[in-house]
Amino acid sequence: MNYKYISIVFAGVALTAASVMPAMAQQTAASSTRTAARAMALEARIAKAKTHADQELDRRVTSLNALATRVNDMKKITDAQKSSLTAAITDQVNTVTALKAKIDADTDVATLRADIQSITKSYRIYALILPQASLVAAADRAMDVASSMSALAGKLQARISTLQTSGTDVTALQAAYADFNLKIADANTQANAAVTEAVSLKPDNGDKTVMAANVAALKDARKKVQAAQQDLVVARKDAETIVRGIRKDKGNASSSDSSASYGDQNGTSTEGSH
Amino acid sequence: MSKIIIGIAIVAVLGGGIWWFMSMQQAYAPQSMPQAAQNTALVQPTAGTQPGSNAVVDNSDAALGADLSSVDNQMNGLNTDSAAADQSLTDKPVAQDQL
Repeated sequence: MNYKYISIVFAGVALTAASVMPAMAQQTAASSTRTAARAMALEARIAKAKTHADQELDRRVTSLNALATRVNDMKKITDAQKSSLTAAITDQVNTVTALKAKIDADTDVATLRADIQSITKSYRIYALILPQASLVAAADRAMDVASSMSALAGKLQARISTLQTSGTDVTALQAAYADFNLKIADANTQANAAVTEAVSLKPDNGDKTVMAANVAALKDARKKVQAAQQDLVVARKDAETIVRGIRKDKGNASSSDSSASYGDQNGTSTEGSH
Repeated sequence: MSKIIIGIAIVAVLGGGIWWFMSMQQAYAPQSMPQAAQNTALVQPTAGTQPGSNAVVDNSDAALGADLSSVDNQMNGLNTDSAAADQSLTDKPVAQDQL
């Protein structure tokens, strides 16, 4: 009786196990497959995130290096101003390069997440330095153009005086010359003010008030550079007016160079008031 | 006594030697002037380089034309810088992924 009962129980257990085990095995296999798929998807997301991070960081390094070269070529700002900009750019390049290396080596998701977030946070510094140095570079160039125009002013004045001495009516030329000098002076003033306004700005370090002030100062400096640029465009037209006037009146007066023509700009002429 | 005389003689000879050495140093002092200072001293008297006397300014038509061309080149550089400044003020970062 007992043997029969035990046999029946065993048989039942065996049958149950036989029917359940394959299903359990299938579930385990499916679970492993899903885990592997999730791991692959995560790896793909990590790779993509790293690619986007590298793109942004490479973009910053490229533009900062180009800016450093431009700053080095500046002629009119002070050495202290140039050093300040160069130091800020170099510091940013070093920071960004180190962050890129760290992100490329990251294997832990939490660490990578934090590093990627720091890209966004550090953008505020980059977003200050980039326009700051670019605006100073443009202002420096404006001052350099103004300097060249000032040198030209002396020559134009001499030629106008020569015409006036010979009895030519130089009223129009003198008016153009006065405006020429006025625009050069204003261009210098505007460009200098732009440099002063932009070069001293500091990163906001998360302070929204400072950030707003920085943005306002950059926009104002931009307006000043635009004003300087516009002044120089007008001054260039004034110079053209004066030179054309001199050439037009050349036949009516003796100039310091009676045979060279304005059209001869290839530098081969040896004539002049030497 | 003779030792004293010999001592005085030695001191006299040494004193004379030192005097002769110092005299020679003073005689050659101008030759030890730095080369740059010598060059400056040679250049300064050159005629025609002093401001306002013989300064030459070429204000011929050709020179004015060349100056205007130079200014135009600089203006092109200013345009480039100005455009870069505009671009920097509207810079947008590459969007980052959320992990």
